Order: sequence, then C-alpha cells, then structure tokens
Amino acid sequence: MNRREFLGSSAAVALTMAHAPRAASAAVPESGPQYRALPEERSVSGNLNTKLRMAPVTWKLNDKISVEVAAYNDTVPGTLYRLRPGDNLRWTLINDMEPAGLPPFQQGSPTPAQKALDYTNVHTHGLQVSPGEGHDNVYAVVKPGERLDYSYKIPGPETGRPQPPGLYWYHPHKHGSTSHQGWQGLSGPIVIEGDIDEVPEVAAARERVMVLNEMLLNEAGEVPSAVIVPTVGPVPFTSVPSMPMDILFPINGVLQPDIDIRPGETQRWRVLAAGPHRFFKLQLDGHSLWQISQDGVPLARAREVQTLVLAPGQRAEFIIKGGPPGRYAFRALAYDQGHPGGPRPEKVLGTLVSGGEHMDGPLPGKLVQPPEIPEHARKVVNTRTITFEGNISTVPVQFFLDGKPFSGSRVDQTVLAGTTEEWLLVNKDVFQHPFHIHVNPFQVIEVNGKPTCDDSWWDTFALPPKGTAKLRMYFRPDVTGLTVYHCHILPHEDNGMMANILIYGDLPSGFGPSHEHGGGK
Amino acid sequence: MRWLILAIGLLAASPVLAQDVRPFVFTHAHNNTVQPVAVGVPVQVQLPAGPVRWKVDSIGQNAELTGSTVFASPGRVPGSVAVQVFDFRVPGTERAVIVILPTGKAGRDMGHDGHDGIHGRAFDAPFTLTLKPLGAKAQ
Repeated sequence: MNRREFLGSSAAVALTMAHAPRAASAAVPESGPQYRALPEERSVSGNLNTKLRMAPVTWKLNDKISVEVAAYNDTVPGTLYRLRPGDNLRWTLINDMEPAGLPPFQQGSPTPAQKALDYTNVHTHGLQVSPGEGHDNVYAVVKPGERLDYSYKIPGPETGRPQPPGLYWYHPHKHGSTSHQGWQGLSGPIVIEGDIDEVPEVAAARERVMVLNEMLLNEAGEVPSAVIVPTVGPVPFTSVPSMPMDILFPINGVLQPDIDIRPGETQRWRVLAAGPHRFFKLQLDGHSLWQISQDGVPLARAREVQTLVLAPGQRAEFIIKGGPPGRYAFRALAYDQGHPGGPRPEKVLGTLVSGGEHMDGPLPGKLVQPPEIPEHARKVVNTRTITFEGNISTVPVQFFLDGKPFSGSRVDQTVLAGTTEEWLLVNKDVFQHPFHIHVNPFQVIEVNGKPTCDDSWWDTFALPPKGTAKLRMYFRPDVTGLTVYHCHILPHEDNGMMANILIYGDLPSGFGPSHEHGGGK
Repeated sequence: MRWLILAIGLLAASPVLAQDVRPFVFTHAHNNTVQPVAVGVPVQVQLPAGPVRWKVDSIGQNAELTGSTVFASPGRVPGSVAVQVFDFRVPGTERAVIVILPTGKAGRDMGHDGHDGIHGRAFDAPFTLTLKPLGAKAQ
C-alpha cells in the first residue's frame, strides 16, 4: 500500500463515519482525543522575528483519520504568536506548496488555474497596521518556491490609539486562492496582551486559544483543486468535476477533542472561526458563556449568553465555569446562513470534561474601558452605501459588491484618514455575508434600520439576509494606504465579493471631506 | 407564503434517504457533460425546483434510481424554492446517460426588488448527464 493509498483509505473511513444521521452527530461523544494547545512564540524586548513556511503536511486529526492539507511551520493550525501594543512583528513567508487535490481521473499535470491555487500571501486580520508593501499587503503574490518579508508595527500607546488587547489571526489572502487555502487549514492566532488580562476575574481563568477550522476534503483527504459549487445536504459543496467530499471541523487540528476542566474552575476561551464558510452558533451544554471580547476588542462589561454566533473570520472571548462532574458537548448548533437547503447541520466540535477537585473561580463583571472615537473626530463626514449581491446559478458562482466583481486595478472607495464615516451595507441576498474591512474596526449602529444601542467593536459583521446594517467607522489617522473590504465567506470573496479602499492622509489644499472623495452616496 | 406551500408540497412527496457513503454530487453546473465516476460509488443529482418539478425521464442500463428527496431552499436561486435530489447507483463499468425533465416553468417573480439584478435563475430545460464509470483511480 503506497502513501496515497494509505491516506485515501484512512480518509475514506472519515467519509463514511462522518456521515452519521444528525441525531447521532448531536450526541455527546463518550470519549475523544486530548485537547491540543498550539505551539507558541512570544515577542522579546518588543520584537518577534520568525518565519511562516507554508508547505503540504500529513496531519492526524485523531487516531484514525489523517488528511493531506497544508500548514504553516508544520502545525495545523499555525503557531500562536503573542505580542503587545508597540511591538514589531517580522516574518518571512516561504511558499513551499506543491499541487494536491487533483480530480482522481484527471490526466496530465496541473492546469495553470490549479497551480494558481498555491499562490499565496498573508493577512494579519484585525491588526491596525499599514497595508503597504512589505506590511499587510494583500495584493502581494508569493508563488511556490518564492518568499516574501513582512513587517508590522503594532500600534502602541504612543499613537494615542493602541491596538486593543485580544485575539487576532493570520491567514492567506491571495484573491482566488483564499478559500482553497482556508479549507486546507492555513490559519493561526495572534494574541495581543494588555489591560484586560489584568482584570482579576480574567487573570484567574485558565486560558485556552481555540482555532475552529473547516476542511473540505475529497476521498484522498485532500482539498479539491477544482471549481467549487454549492449543494444541499451534509456537505455544502461539490466540485467540477465532481468528487465525493466531506467537511470536517477540528479544534486546534483535533477532531472532537476532550477539553478538561475542574468543577467550578473558570477558563477563558478565545475562539476563532477560521473556516472559509461555516457560521458557528456556539453552545456549551449546561454552561453559560460570559463574553468579554468581540473581534479582539474588550467589552466594558462581561455579557452572559447561552449561545454565540461566530461568522467566518470573527472571534469571541468568553469565560466559562466548570459544571458538576460530567461530559458536556461543545456544539455548533444548526444555523441557517442562507446556504441552499436551509440550516447547516449541527456539529459537536468537542467535549468539556469536568472532573477533579472542586474550585470556585470568579466570574467577570466590569472589564476595561473600550476604545472610543476621538471627540474631535466624531462628526460623520461622509456616508456610503455598499450593496452585496450574488448569483449561484453560474459556474463558477458570482458575488459582487455594488454590482461589480473585484478588480485589482480599480479604487472603489477613497477615505480620509482621521475622519469618521457611516456606511450602509445592503444585502440583497438570502446568504448572510460577513462584511470585513482591513485596518480599522467599526461599530454597528443599526441593523435593519433599528438602533443596536451597542458599543462593541467589530472587524467582521454578518449582514442579515435581505437586510441592512449601518456601520460607523473611524479611520485612524496614522495608517494610510490601499487595502480591501470584502465578504469573509471566502468562496464569495474569491468569486468577486471584494473591493479596494484607499485611505489617504495628505489632504490637498482646497479639498475637504465630502462625497466627492467617497464615490458612494 | 407561496414558497412555503410549494416546499411543503414537494417535501411531503418523497422520503429522506439516509446515506452511508459520500456520493458524487452533480448539479446544473454539470449539465450536458460527461463525468467520470468510480464504479459502485453512489451518484446524486441536485436541481432547483418549485414550481418546476423534475422527473427522471430515462436512465442508461447501467444506472438505477434508488431514491429522491427535496430540501426547502427558498430565495437562494431565483425562480425556485427548493432543491430536488435524485440518488442513483451505477454498478457496472458501462456509460450511463441520465435525463431528467422539468414539468412546469421556473418562477418568474423571484428576483430581488422586482427585477433579476445579477441573479441567475432556476433553469427549466432538460438536464442530461453522462456518467463514465472508471474502475481504477489515477495514482
């Protein structure tokens, strides 16, 4: 039995076993593999210099299932990097990818389109850093055999607007291959440390950083190198040409791990939805979630919730307190995100296993002061309307912003750094599009015309089906350049739902912020 | 409300088929093509439905309809409110041609804001798929 046959047979076991009826998949697993903490690197004296080597990997999701995916530095997901506001992060992205996932009956070598699925770059999602060349530049193209140096200056206190402490992440962002590489599990967490870590109830909680991946795999356990089209049923996509496929949801590279806790112990879960497509409506059986942060930005007070929805790209942090001894499912509940065929089915992501000596960990209340728009910049100087609309009747599917597919040679919006704008996002689809913008976070002030009365900050927000959301965005004055906003369902982004935004800082004489600078009405 | 009634009508018409092995899944994206499949692996065809109802017209000798079901799917593809799913087995190595015919027309008023916009539409022309079973997978 050669390597490919072996991997194929083990993945075939996965394809068969994972197809249990919904009721069975919702049961609490009787046992599971051990939870895996990710490898870590931390900045030293304000600097973190490292590499991101992207290469194929054979990865064991549990004792029975191996998959042929891709990894940064041989770990799925990637290394956890810890930094503080004001630090410098530098890494060299090395692309050592090789073609994989070819249709099983394909004759000949990979096509140019298939080779392009291994072109890459890297984006630091949520970091308020320069999008320029050599920084968080998502226009860069790094082909197999090439490498590229990146450096990021994390905003520190001296800017007057430090990077909020919380969970961020990195992932590929080459337009056209973003979802393919997302299905492969290429992603990793970045933790910015700061004042919220000193809140006594937060500091007392054991920390777990969890990356939820979503792997779309063929029978060989590889991500298909083919055009993907949506389907109904347990697997949301098929390919052209078709291959039998499955979709798996590991936590930190492990399928349905056991996560230990002591009765009464508090833990701080930092959870990242790194999948290209699935909305995770999270529920931990028998436990409340005390949310303390959204998309990396701390809340003013903890909020007790029973479920929490994470759209692709979003993060949330919450405190849990271990219940009586027993096993409790950590679920992604069935959720209708607008995909054909109705709600995506429920999945058990892992199991919280409570046991051992009782503790009485404190629950959080008041937290820290969240960021605010500077008083001098609170006047809204411009408004824009952005329309989201897609078409899944074509091959490939088409997803547009303002009626246009993405073009790298067009500037769609220009904004003045240091000003505040309101954007009305109009979703013409049943599909819930998670809006994401690079560099600057935003507040959501209305959903479907109703005020939210919520001062949370987001960098990714899921638009309601056939509805609207109004955002208020402050473009920090010290970060300028050309970057993007897009839908964070990555197959939508790859198929057109992305646009360019130029944040400029030098205002020519005689010009002031007005519609003339925006383009939107 | 109309889509709901249509979807309920379609759903009531056919039982859900449980599957143990992942199938080759084909959609309108594979219409009028020749598609390789592995011998013995289930084959599934999914088509937008309601008000169109799809009916298997002819199947090659080397294919057998094993079941069908319907998923409610309102608003995803204008002109339809559901997806009709057909399951087949293809036991041998001979080519099999599957022809599925629409009865009725796709809806005309499901576009956004009273117009089609960039949205596509559910199609209501015959669906044809030629399956080419292959015994050994490429290594």
